[in-house]
Amino acid sequence: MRYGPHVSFREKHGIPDLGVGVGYRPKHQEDVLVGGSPDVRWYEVVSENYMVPGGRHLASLERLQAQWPVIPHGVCLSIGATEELDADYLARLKGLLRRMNPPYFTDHLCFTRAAGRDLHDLLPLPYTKEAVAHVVERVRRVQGELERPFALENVSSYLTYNDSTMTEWEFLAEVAERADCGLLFDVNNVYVSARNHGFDGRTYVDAIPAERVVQIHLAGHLDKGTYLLDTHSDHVCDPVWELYERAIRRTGPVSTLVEWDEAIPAYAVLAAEAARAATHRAAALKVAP
Amino acid sequence: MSRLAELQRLFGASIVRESPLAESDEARELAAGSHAMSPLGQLEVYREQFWIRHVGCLVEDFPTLHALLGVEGFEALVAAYLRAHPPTKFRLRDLGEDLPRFVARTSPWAEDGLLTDVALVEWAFVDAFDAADAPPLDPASLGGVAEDAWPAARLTLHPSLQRLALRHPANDLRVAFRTGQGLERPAAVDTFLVIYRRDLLLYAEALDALAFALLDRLAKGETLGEASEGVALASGRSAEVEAKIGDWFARWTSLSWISRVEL
Repeated sequence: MRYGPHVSFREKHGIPDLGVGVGYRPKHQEDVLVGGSPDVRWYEVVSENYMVPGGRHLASLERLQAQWPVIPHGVCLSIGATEELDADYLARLKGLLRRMNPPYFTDHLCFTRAAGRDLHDLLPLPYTKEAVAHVVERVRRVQGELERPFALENVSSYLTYNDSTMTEWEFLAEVAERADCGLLFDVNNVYVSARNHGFDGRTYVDAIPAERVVQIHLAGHLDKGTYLLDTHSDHVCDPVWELYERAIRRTGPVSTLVEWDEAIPAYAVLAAEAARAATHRAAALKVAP
Repeated sequence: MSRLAELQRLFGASIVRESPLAESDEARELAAGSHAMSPLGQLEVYREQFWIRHVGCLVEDFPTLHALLGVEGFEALVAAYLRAHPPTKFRLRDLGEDLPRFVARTSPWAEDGLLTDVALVEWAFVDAFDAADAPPLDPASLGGVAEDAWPAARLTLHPSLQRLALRHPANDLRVAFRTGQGLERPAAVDTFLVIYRRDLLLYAEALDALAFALLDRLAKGETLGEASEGVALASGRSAEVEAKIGDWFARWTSLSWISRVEL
């Protein structure tokens, strides 16, 4: 289903623009739960950390949700794997979604399992018609089973397949259109992959179905010399801010998230990065931050 | 097998290899390479990350074991462990669940009982951290229970409670390491330990052998009468069991170890 400029995936499903948020990490628990920062309007949690029977994480999620909008973001759905979807995983995710009741949930366009092993990495798919058909069928099943809108995130990659017959952005767009799902558009991942594979990130940004984007991710990365590694371990770099402005001009106001997962700084540093994102967002949208 | 499945199988098989990849038909079949990287180099990024991620996860869950073995020794253990127990669960949190058993049964690590004890203690803390919640027992709810009803009582222990019978004071070593007091190898001594969560915090409590034996039987579903009689018979110290059982019960209740009493 194609959405015109006046009926976006967000509007159809009542998905709100939450402004700028950050990834919630245990290190910042006390800062966040005793007031947070006016520069951080919402939080994202890693779903799997809360798909547990009890304990501190679940208790802090309850306190977090009492104060802020919270969106779950998964890393283990393995939507692109050819192995069966993990029924235990889906049941636990369903339980978490019931507990949280978010407007949507997200995971990555990748596979994390192969040959009976969990590889615990976001492995890219070949950009082929076979992979499109496979993922589309699974996204439909997941959206149906979990009974709420689902958005796929583009992953950063270090490998290009001989088998690919289309570009990554063509692949992403076709999956989203045919599965009728949302997109979590990670512009840092676009930048990392563009540098690693030698394409222009602006072409990617200009090609995605912007009306399907429910959220944008920002993060830092590490320059390893011959490639960029998506580490979420640093400030967002200038070329990524440029891609962000280009992307949000296309999508209109959508929730934006700053991720920082390694060498995690003090909460104030992360909040300052969120404030910077708000400034870029306002500049792109020509509104006050 | 579909082409997609074959590509994923090739990808997965390449990145779990323990040593750097060599030129191979598989790598050339899978990866195209780029302006900056060869097909092999592209796959190698993922292989390196696989090991960094999995070793790092186990270092985080078993920091004292890591310190005892050193970086290279621990990496050798992880490689052998993942060969025997390839990761099959979606959460990295579960990666180490078989490591204590693996250390206990596998040479050369099995020859040093301290390593097994440390692994058991560190994993017990992981398990206690996110075990199910349960409300503590309200002692007032037992006020009216007739004395002769107690022998038939069955106790439900808090889901976070982990019971460990060890040959070394492994938690003392763990605490010393975590608090920067070094890693001095302790002498072997039978140690009975309970690791548990209360008010979202984790604790360890050492028990004497009799109390531990009673708690162990209760955890396995014996009634209070069966458990105390069993411990008394096995130890030959029935008078001591009888004298102390009230204090033990009171202590365990105060620590929120007991969440329910069925009468």
